[in-house]
Amino acid sequence: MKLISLTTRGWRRFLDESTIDFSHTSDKPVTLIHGENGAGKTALLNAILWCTTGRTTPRLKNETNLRYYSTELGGLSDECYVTLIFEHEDIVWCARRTLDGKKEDFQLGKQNAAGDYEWVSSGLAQKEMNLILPPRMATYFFFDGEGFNQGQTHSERSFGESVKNILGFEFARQTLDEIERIQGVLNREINKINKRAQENSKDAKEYDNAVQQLEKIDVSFKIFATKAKEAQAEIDVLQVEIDAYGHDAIQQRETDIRVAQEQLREKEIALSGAQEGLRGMVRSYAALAFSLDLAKKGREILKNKRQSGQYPAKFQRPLIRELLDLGECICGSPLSENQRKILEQKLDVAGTELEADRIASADRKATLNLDQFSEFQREHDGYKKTIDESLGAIKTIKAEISRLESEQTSFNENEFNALKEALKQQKDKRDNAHVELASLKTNRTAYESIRNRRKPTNLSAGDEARRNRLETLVKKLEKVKTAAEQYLDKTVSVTANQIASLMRHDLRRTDISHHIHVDIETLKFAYVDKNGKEVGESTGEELFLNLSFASALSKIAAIRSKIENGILIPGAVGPLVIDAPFGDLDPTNARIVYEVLKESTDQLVLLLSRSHWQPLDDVMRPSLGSEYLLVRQHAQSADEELELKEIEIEGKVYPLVSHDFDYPTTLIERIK
Amino acid sequence: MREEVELFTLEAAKQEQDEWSVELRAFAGMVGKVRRKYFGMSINDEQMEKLFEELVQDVDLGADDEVN
Repeated sequence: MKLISLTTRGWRRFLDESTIDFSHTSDKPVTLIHGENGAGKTALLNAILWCTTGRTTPRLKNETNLRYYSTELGGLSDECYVTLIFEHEDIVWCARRTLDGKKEDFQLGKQNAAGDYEWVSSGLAQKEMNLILPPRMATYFFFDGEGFNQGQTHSERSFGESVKNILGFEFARQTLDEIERIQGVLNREINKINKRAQENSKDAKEYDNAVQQLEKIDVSFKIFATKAKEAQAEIDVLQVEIDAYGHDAIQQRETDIRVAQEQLREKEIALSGAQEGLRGMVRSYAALAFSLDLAKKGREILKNKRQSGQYPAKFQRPLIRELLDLGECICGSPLSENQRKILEQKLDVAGTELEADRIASADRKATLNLDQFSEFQREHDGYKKTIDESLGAIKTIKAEISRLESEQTSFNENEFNALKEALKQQKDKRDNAHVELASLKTNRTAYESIRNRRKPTNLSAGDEARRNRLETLVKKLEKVKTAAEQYLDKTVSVTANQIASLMRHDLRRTDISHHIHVDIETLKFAYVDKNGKEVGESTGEELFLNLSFASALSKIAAIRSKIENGILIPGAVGPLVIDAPFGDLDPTNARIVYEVLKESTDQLVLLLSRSHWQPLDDVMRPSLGSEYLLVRQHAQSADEELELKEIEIEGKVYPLVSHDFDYPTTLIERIK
Repeated sequence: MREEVELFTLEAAKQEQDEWSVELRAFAGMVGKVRRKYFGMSINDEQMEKLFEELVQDVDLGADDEVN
């Protein structure tokens, strides 16, 4: 990571927008910023730290008041932002953090080929910045020399965390975690395959069982199909025999004969009834014929009498008397007593009626008799017809009965029943076979389903190959992990010793008489005497120790960052930006510290006061690429006399303080 | 610089790298992949598995640990 420029506006004492361009060439890697107390050196250091991480150093106590404020101006500045342009892994980035009230906004842009910035989405900007420069690592690169390491005391300094953070152990540890995570993924996959293998085994058993059952079912199916077929053949034969036996036809003929006989009886009854009716009719007919004849005769007589002028009063009397005398009926049969009484009564009344009436009466009787005769005739014809029909039907039925009886044959009931029983048994056999076949069919469907579902596939072979591959990979990863852990454990202490050696090397360049001891167990370092006993230290000695430590970290990180395919790749190697690093060092040690710092990094930014810089000017100047001056501006006041401070740089005098402003601020002036 | 400091030069680090075992070389490759993932490259588990497998292909498990 190399810093290119820093721009501030409304930040701490820096009201107007000001920009510092950092030097980052290999021959002149140093940027020097001069500033007296209160000019804003720490504020600039914090501008870089705040812009990249959102944090400030512990010494910037009033961190809630980061925005420029002055009563002369009438309050807060209208804007507050810090913009840092830097290069990281051959890409130019722009980080910009703004403050609006207490609300911060961070933007991060990546410069494209056209020179424009492509801004990372706001939700990911800080995350990506943290990837470039983790916040906890930033404090090792951007620090306040007088309050180094965020106020850690000597006894709290630990190589362990520093080494992990700066020297690439973090990525190595993350890689170990990633290996473990991938091993977990692989093991889960292996477990799945194992589970599938178990299931496959269970499937295979079910499949084998289904196949066996299907084979059995096929055998049984054939047996029962044959049984059904054989039974059906028997049934067909028996049915032919039974049909040939003619039993049903005989039975039917018997039934037909019974029906015909019944019909015959009915016809005979009808015939008998008709004959009886006809006989009665014949008698009635005779009586009627006699009565009619009598009436005709009587009427003829009366008619003749009348025509001749004779009107015998009682023309019937002689006839009646004659009949009585003869004792015979008009039909010639002897008179019955009853008939005699009737004739005697008629004889008494005869001749009492008027002849005309009698003739009329005779006519009416004759007419009635004729009507009745017609009626009788029809009835007679009816009887005759019935008799004829009945006789015809009887003849026909008798002929049918005769025919049926002639067809009837006798058969052996036992033999027939035996056939029927045999037929029933064969039908039962056939039906039972069909029931069995249906059941077998159902079972076959079920087992076929199992066979199809549980059919072992070649996945099992594929799974096995994959499982072997994954198990091999897990084991190889385990071997790699073990080797890496051993390497890292060893390298932590090796690195601690490397840092200690570098620090000892630095120490030997000074007039500090202490030794440096590193406790490999606790990874702590301290000044000790020649007997290894921890000794007290001055503020300057402590500052030297801290700067030497930072230098060593930076130096090792820089070397490791240049190694291709290394294990300990630093997460980031930042430039060293140090505020007031030489404050408590005497000039000799300050020069050494400067050399140490310059050697340890590709880019060094120093924020120095006049007194700290002047003794080092000769050693610093050849490496200076950029040089700036922080000029404090005071609001003019007629009542106070302010000290006029100046600084002479390369023979030219620059004011450090100005009094002609309406409000207090610091101007950044470029010298080089 | 004194001799002991020169041990921490780039050349010394590369020399140490040349002496790495197959496992450490594989691990170094993995660090590179994890670092790329850490810096935003999208690598899913399946891809990481393949990358790791390629990197460990020279790692010898020995007869006892071989999975057949």
